[in-house]
Amino acid sequence: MVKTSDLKVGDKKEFAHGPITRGEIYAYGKASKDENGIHMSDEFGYKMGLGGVIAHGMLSYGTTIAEIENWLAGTGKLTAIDCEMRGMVRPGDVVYSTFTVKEISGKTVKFSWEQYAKCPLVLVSNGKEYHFEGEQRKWVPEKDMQLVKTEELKAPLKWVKTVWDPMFPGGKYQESVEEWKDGGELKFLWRLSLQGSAEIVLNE
Amino acid sequence: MSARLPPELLEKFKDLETEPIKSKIRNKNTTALAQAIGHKDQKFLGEGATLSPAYIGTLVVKGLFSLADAAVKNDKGEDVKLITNPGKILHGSMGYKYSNLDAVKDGDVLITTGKLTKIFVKNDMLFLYADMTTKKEDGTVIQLTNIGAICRKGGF
Repeated sequence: MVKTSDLKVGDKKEFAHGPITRGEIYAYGKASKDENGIHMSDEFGYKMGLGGVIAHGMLSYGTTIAEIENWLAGTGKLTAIDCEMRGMVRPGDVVYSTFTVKEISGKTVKFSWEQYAKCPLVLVSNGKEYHFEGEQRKWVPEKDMQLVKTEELKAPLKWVKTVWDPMFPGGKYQESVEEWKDGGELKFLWRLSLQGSAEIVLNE
Repeated sequence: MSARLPPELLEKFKDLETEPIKSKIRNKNTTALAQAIGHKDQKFLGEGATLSPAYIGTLVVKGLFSLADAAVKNDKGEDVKLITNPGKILHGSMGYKYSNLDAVKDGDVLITTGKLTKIFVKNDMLFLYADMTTKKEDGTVIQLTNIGAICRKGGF
């Protein structure tokens, strides 16, 4: 149960979602009826100069709204939220949202929040290199090279394996979420995707 | 600055109203969206579900994208479209204020209206901002939205 007495200014609440799959993007497109080709078709995404499909901004935003409501679990409600969309989210990314308490007034709590998308690029493990889709499809533009980081894996890495039907390049595919448990050093893009503020009203 | 859309022509698009979006609320649709974004609270799922705060955002986006067909007349009386390639439009920003979400029930009709408040070209991109309001047919305000979109070079 979330109560105002348990929160103070500066507290942070973090949520993680993903890795985001093409299936998830497709399902969101169908459910929201936003079937813009840049979200639904890799081929169209390429034609539009995006290097393949990108997730709906409203999907990564929506997952954050759902995470807040899951956290509140009926002990309050979201009354306002805003954000600027700062960067693309792609299949294989994990999005991390951090909400920081800025103000508490009665039962109203105001937050600032930001969401970063983590796009895996290369894993080096036991002397071998494994290249993820982000690296293979050159999803890191020159201007974002300074956002590429490396880390030693401390926990299993969940990643999206996508296999394309050679008869339908950019079309039919199969994907699965895999788990890498053997450790290693991961190179990844760490990019701000959403940034804004939010307000909740708690019951207590 | 765009040769096709000089500032004086761009100014004519300001205050342009978005196409009203009328949406009948169906539990199966709101539940599908709630599932797609990961709601676990049962109040957002199934029969009698409360509308997820994320749901109306999807209606608002449709209103904004209706501007893709907007056109104004130039000095020669010719129609000049605002957007020439909707595939170049990206959602840029949004702000929502929710009220009375609990009052929306299966079968209700929501109407989203709005108008362009700001429009300008910067760094070869067209920026569009609109204020939108979503109400029930009885006038109850459900959501106030400000929303922004960016049309990339080659799309306007």
